[in-house]
Amino acid sequence: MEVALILEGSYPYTTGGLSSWTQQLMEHLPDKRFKIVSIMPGRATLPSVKYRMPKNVVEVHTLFLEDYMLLSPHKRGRSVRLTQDEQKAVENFLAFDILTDWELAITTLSNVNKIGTSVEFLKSEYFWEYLLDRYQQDYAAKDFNRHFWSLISMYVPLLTLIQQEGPRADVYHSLSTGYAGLMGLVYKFRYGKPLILTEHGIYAREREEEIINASWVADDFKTIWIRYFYAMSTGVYKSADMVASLFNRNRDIQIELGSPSAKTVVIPNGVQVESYAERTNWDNRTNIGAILRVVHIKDVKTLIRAFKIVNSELPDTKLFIIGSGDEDLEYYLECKQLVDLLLLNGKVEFTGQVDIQTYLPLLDLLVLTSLSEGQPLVMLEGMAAGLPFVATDVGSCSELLLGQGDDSIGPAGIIVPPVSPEETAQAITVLLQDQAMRSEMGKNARLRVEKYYNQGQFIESYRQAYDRLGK
Amino acid sequence: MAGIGFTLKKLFYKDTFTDRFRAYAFSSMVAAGPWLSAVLVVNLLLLVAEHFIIAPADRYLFMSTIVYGFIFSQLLTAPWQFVISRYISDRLFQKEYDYIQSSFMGLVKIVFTLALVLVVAFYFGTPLPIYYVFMSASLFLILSLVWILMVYMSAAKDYQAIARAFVWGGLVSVALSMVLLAQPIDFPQHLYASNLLLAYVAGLFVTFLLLIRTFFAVFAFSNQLEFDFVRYLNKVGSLFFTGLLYTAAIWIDTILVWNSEHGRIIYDTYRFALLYDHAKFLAFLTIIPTSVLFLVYVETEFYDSFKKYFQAVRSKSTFAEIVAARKSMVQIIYRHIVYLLERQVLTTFTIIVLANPLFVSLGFSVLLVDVFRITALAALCSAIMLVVLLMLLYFEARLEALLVSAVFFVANAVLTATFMPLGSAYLGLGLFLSALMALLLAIWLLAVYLKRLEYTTFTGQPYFAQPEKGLFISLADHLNARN
Repeated sequence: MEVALILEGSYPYTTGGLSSWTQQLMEHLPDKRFKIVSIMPGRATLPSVKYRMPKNVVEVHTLFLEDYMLLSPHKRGRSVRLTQDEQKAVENFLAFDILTDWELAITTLSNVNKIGTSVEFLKSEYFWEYLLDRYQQDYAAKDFNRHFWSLISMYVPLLTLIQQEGPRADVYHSLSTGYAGLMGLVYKFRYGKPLILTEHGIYAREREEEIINASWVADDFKTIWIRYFYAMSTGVYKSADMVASLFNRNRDIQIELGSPSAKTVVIPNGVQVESYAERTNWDNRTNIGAILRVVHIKDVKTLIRAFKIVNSELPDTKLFIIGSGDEDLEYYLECKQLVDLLLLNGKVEFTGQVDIQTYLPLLDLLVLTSLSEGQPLVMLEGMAAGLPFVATDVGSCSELLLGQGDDSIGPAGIIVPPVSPEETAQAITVLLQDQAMRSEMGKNARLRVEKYYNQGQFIESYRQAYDRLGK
Repeated sequence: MAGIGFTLKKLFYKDTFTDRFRAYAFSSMVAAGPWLSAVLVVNLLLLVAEHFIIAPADRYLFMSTIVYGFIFSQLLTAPWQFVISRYISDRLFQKEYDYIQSSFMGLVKIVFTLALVLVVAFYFGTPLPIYYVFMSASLFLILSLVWILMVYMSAAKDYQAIARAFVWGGLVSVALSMVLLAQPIDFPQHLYASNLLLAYVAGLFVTFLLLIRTFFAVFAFSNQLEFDFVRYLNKVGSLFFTGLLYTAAIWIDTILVWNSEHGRIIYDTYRFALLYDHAKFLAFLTIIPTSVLFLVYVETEFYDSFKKYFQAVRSKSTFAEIVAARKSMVQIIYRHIVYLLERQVLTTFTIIVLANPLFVSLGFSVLLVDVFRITALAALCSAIMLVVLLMLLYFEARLEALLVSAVFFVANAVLTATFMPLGSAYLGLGLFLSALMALLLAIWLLAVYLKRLEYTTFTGQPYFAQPEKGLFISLADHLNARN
């Protein structure tokens, strides 16, 4: 059986939770053949492959959002003839309406023979008339020039992408909504195959936060961009054959955003607890670890500020920031500057990309100060190694540390609010100073992962899903 | 997870609209202005020659030499004129003045080489004496260079310098011809034709020198990138063919007539059709009003309304405001086309009516009158057509402009070939009908185009920036890199 995994800005070119998850899934389903559809920004900026791919990966098909650059921007528009139903579907789609007939819209717009290339379509009189109608209805008092170009710059990459070829497979599996979800829909409709959606976070929500904080978009266009990402998500929620999330809170959001609840399922991440050495000695209390990519969303600056407070009280402590720093170099350098500024040289170490399993035994406590998370795999790994955690109250962190439902195992760490260096520092100091608490929480951590976040369950859930849908 | 869709930060929103005013006005100047002054000079020379008893063969020879020089230098340079004028206006807009002088040097090299090849091929085996061939060839080369210079001079908008150069050149020609006819240089063959030609070429050379002096004064800076403009053959290649076809359309009937029973051949070298050539040259004198008025109009009222429209497009206007700006611009365009048409019709009809007594008093053959009348109507149509064609080019409707030229050319060839065998009474009818047809087509295309101007203004832009590709662009890059 062939499974096509569709990812955006991720495996195999960038490291991180989703990429590790992907690698783990494929390694443990050796009897399935995997094809990777990796959607990346552009050819010129394509990073190197970061993973040694398992043998059952038979194809890596990379799609580029900037591949519209391969088209001629000068082409004249062509005449576009659509039936009334097609028109309605296409126009709803272009208006980012959640009531779109997704199948009809996507089949029509992804068909080059029918509507021409994205450039030809967007230069057609049909599209011009549509755009004018919309403008007259909703934006008639706005700057038309900017309106036109803003929309064109949204549609060109979008339409170019959905007109791309893709690999054939028995099951398509998108690992987010957004462009990955959209391509999942394209393949589902084009080849008549089932589509699974697994979301680690909630894509549309994440984009919404990004857009609200973006200074380069005017406010009225922020609304359009947000609509765009929500609508794209809704299409997948509604049409996918199975919608998976990592924890209940996200499942509720998926349902709220349009997924029929019967299709939704929670499949938590899992790790192989046996492969992590059980910790027996809790004496040491100097090495604090944070396993993360050095990017804004992980809020490394709060981590460093918190460590400053901890270190002024416990001067022999060290902070290890474990993970790659090349994804957002600017942010990485800012973090290094902050370390200098706070006179923490020699006490904070940026290890870069290393094998986590060898580092875990050196650490006494793990910290995660993210602004947003799904269900962080590194947290499961740290917990499996019996390390207590201080983590922000985002994603499923509190579920992981404190348990939920009939879980009676007890806390595996301390939850703090995001962007709170003082609370974080306080929690770290408490834990470092209380050996009994550390060992208690460390043991709870391992127990909880063993019981609820077991790799076997996770792999089995997907094996069954593939077998059920893909036969 | 990290979504890639939004962090792209690539908004194509930009400011590349054509608010720059393309200097296409040159074409009416080039196609009409100096060439009219030249026709005047030639006719003056012929009138001067009337006072001396010159063998008809010598007069035909002189006329043919001039006619050939004109037609073929136009055919050679017209395609480049459209392309280079676009190049100049882009460089002027970007304030890259050094490219302009260099492009002239590069273009002169190309045109001079082509002209030399043509001259050698044409005069190979001619029975004409070497000094006559030399003067004829000089005429052809200098004329070609003058046409090209004209484009640069009109881009610099130094119309006074242009006028001065032609007036002085003309005066020199006429004065020298009087001297040389009274005291001819003792050429062994074609005495008077050679002396007249010498006088004319000398005057033309003065014009050329004056023009080039002004050129170097205006465009004083240069760089090494002489062939950089070649990339425009890819960028706006259709302009090359629009120029070629329009010019070829104006002359294809003449060439067909030469090769029919109406034509003759002189000294195994030149073909000519005395009646037709002379009448047509005179007829094209009648379009002076359109040429001058159009130039004035483009620089003033049209420019203002054109600018207002593109300002509306670029500067935070609502769509309703853009439409309003377009409507007021379109109104101005139509009003002026009608105005030009009125003036030109009035002029042409007055001259047509008065042609008989006029020709008699000027000492021209009365036989010319009928052909003159029909070709004057053709000149009327082709002049207005050129105005509409240039309008199309201002709005970047390059394919439409190309279509008009192509239709004009094909129609003239077909219709002239159809009517010519019917007798000399039908000469010029093909030219007139094809010019009328192409004029109507041009007006219709312009009307359709202006009606949906917003559509083409927006969707006609490239949707994203992309490195340019193409044979001539690579060639230009290659030649640039050599330096």
